[in-house]
Amino acid sequence: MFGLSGSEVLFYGGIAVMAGTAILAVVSLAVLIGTGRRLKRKLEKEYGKPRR
Amino acid sequence: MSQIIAGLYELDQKIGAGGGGVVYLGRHLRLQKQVVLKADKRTLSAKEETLRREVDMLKGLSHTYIPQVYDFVQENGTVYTVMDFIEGESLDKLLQRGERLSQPQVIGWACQLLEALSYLHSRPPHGILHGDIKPANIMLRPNGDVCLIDFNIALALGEDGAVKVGFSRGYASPEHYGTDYIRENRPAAVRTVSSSGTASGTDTNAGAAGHREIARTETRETSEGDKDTEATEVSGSGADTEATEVSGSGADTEATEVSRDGTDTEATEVSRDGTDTDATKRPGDTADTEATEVAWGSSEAETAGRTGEPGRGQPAVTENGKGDETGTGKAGIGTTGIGKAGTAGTGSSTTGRSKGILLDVRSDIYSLGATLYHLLSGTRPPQRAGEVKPLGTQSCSPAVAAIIQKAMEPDPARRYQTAEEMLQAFWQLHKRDQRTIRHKRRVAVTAALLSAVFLAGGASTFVGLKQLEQRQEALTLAEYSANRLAQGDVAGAVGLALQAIPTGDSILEAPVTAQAQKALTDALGVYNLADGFKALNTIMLPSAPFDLVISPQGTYLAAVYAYEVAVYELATQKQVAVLPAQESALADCVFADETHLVYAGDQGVTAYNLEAQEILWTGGIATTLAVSGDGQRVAAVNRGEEQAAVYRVSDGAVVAERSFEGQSQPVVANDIFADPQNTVFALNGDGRLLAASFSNGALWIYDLTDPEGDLILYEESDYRHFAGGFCGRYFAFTAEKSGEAVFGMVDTVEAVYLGGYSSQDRLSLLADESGIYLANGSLLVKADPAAMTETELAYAKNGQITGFAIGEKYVLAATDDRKFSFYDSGAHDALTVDCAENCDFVRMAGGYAVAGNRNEPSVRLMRLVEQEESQLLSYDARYVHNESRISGDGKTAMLFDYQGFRIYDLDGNVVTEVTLPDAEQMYDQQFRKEPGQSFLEVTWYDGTIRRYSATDGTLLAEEKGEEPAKDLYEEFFTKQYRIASSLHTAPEVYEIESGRLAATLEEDSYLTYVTQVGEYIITEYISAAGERYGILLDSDLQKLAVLPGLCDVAGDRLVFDYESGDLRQCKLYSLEELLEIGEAYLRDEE
Repeated sequence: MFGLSGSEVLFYGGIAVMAGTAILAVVSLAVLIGTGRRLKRKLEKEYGKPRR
Repeated sequence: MSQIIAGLYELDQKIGAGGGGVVYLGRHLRLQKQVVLKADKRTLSAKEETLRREVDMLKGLSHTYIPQVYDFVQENGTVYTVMDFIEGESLDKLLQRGERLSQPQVIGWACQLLEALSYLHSRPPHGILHGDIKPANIMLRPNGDVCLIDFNIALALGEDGAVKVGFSRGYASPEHYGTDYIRENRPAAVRTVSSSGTASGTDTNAGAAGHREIARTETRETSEGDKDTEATEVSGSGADTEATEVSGSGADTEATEVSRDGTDTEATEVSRDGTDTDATKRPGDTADTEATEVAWGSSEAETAGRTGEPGRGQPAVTENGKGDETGTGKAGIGTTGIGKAGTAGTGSSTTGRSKGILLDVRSDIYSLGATLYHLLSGTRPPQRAGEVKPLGTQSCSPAVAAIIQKAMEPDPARRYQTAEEMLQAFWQLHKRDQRTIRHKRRVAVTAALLSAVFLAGGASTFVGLKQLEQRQEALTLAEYSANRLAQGDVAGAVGLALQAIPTGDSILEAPVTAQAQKALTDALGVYNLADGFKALNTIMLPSAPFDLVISPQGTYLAAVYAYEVAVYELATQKQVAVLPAQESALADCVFADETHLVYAGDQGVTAYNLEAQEILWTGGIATTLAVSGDGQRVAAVNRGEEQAAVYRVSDGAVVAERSFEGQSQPVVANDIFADPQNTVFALNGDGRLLAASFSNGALWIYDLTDPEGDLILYEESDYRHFAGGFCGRYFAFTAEKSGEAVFGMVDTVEAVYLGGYSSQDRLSLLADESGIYLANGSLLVKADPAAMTETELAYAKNGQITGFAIGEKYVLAATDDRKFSFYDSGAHDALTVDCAENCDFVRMAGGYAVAGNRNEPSVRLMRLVEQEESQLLSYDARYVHNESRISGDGKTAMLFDYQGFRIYDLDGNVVTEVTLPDAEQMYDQQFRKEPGQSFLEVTWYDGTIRRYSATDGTLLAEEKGEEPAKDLYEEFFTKQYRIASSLHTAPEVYEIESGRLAATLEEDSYLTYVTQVGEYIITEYISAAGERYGILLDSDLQKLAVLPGLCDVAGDRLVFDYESGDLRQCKLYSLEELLEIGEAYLRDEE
């Protein structure tokens, strides 16, 4: 595959997957933090500020 | 209405009145602080002590959302309770104004109220019940907090043990109304105490977590045959009241029960039986009625209950709009609610006969739920709990509605069991909201998914890294294996190659590398079917050798090094003797015959029997030795000395001595670096003549029997390097000086110089009884002194010959390009071996050859291997041809080139020989195997194509086609690849599917055939030098093996054509087969 051996595909592919996952994690984190904050605001509007 | 109470308080105004009493706004005269004074209506009936205990208990309460009780005073028979003045207004005022309360606001109040309730319910010993939670009893302070006021109902404990319980319709729990009411809604949840003669308590809330049971029922057996049933009750603060209030003078059953007046008024009288009355009996009831049914034991209570009049001392608890005057500024607090047995009243609001019901904290929870219901919906909940409609989304969120709905469950068991539990529900509104849960689930799923993918990537990277490491290790091992093989250590090479091939047991192992497979293939030599020498082993010496000597038949090898002579048996490569030698690089050793070794021992010339492992004799000190051709005599001379002695090998007797008359052989100051081959010191065949060269350039042939017969070849000269020996009657020699070498031959019988020549190249000479051999530059010849002719034995293509050995079938020649080669009888280079350094010594005898140099303490051993078992066909080696192919039926072989072809059957008989016309105009030849027949297709430049049968050579067809292109462009196809080959460019391999260039094959050779066998691809080439060979490739085009001499692929068998006139075949080995062969080889070696 692409002139790479199976071992190289595993190695570089694994690195690529990890890097991609890390990027995706950052994006997901940002999205989830955003939605979490929006939800928190919504819930505070509905129930008031969380107690305890 | 100013009135001074107890000299401390001044009543300012009446701010409320109810069943429990009248509430006044007052002022502490000394502190000048506003307070609320509540005049208790029970004053007339309750004992002062009882009231004081209740107030003392309330005075002990301190909570943010509960007013503080300060004092208890009596004035004119009226008991006043002094407490905080709570500024603000009650929530019912807000509701009356129709104010829309926001959900967060209500939730906040709910939490505060629940904290207050939780505090009350947890007061020792059994908690305090408020008993009448409703908007009117909740004050909204200016700061937005709420305060729970008016403990009137909680204060409903009468001094005679009866308690009046008030309730507010809609807010009061079903238990307030009675058992039947509950049953009507949730029959299973009714808490009753029933008995027929023997009372027993049934707690439907048993096991309810967190439920603090304020009302309890106990059954205990007090005496023989008697049952003492105590339905206790309540407590709250009433720790000090419950025990004292309940009395049973001699009664077996003591019960505290609460009854509600059956009137529709908000005050319900509850009486506790403080007399000896049987609690299980109720006036008018049958004896088998349930024990908890209300006992009207107290006449007062009974009367009160029947009449529906408010009980004494009970603070009025009223419903809004029904005379309750609570309002702004109103504040009040009552005393404890101690477990009360709710009763089925006789009032019209309930049906049927009542059963004993105990109120507990869940009643407060119901009331609070109802209050919240009203606050959120703006609608007061109906009295009947079963008729309460769930709050809609227009009123509040579903989660909040669910909390309120649960709090208002008719069945107490289905409500929150504690205020704390309900408080938790409000606290966790955010947390338990479906959107929060979904969000958290999304976060969790995303995190899990990303983690899993990340870990999978990490695992992949780890496995890949390990595989790459293992692959790199395999490549290194393969390289080491190749080096070992180059050094002649076949076993080591095989071992390393096997190590380079993973076992396949672990995912961390990379697939087998082509390099490792090639190393194993090379080490095993499975595709080298030519007869010839193959690496056998490498012997390690203690130090680099000065000389290597092999016995005449190749049984033993003697290695001379500092300062020993080690003897090895070549068949086993085992050391058989280590003999001490002279401390000089000139120390010599010679084999007199196959088993007798004569060497320059440290004690003198020593003869040693290798079979007997014993010294035969020892002569005088000597370094340089020479043995006669017949092996009977040995001449010896010590370094620098001017005379030689000749010993008889058999007994060591000195048979001759000869003085060199003032001459000596050259000796350097430190003869460790001396070249023992730098001089002539040789006996002839019978040991009669001794040839010796001297440091002055003289070269003499001494007649050991007749000094008059000495021959002086050079009396004195500039030559410094001599070599020479006898071959029969002839003596041959070489002499070298700077830039010049001469070769000459002398007839010792006729004393005639036969002739010779000089050369600018280095000359190497070997003269013994087998012949005279001379290497001149790259050419090795055998000289015939009688005929004065030379026969070529070997020609080194890439270097000059520095040493050689002559065997029966092969000539071994070392060259100055770090190689040594075996040449067959036709002077063909049968095998060339690379070395780390130039070989100073090459020896060959019997079936063995050895090679070594003065710089490495190792000796390479090789053994002659003949592979007759792989023989396919023997043909006349003189027949010139370029290609050999086996017919498809396997019965004939065709040897052909542009001149013509010859067909052999497999018995070696010539079937036919055909000369092809017009060879100069021939474009190409292709041997084709097609079903049914094989033929040679010959194409000429003019487009003529002829096909000749491979069976008998007949012309099968002739046709005239288009003139072919002159670049010899061809294409070959395998399963995966298209291989384009042309005359002047390296073959290029393209993937068929993608068209991508996958690899470029051999650059300096012309690709002739491509054959796919299984997953292997076999490419065949003709090198620029005209040699045919093949390359075995794997499916990734990695080189697995070099196949020298490959001429055809027949099925899965490889056919090799050797110049010796042999066609040989072998199978195409799989990796597994190679591993088996390698492991078997190592087992055999062990």
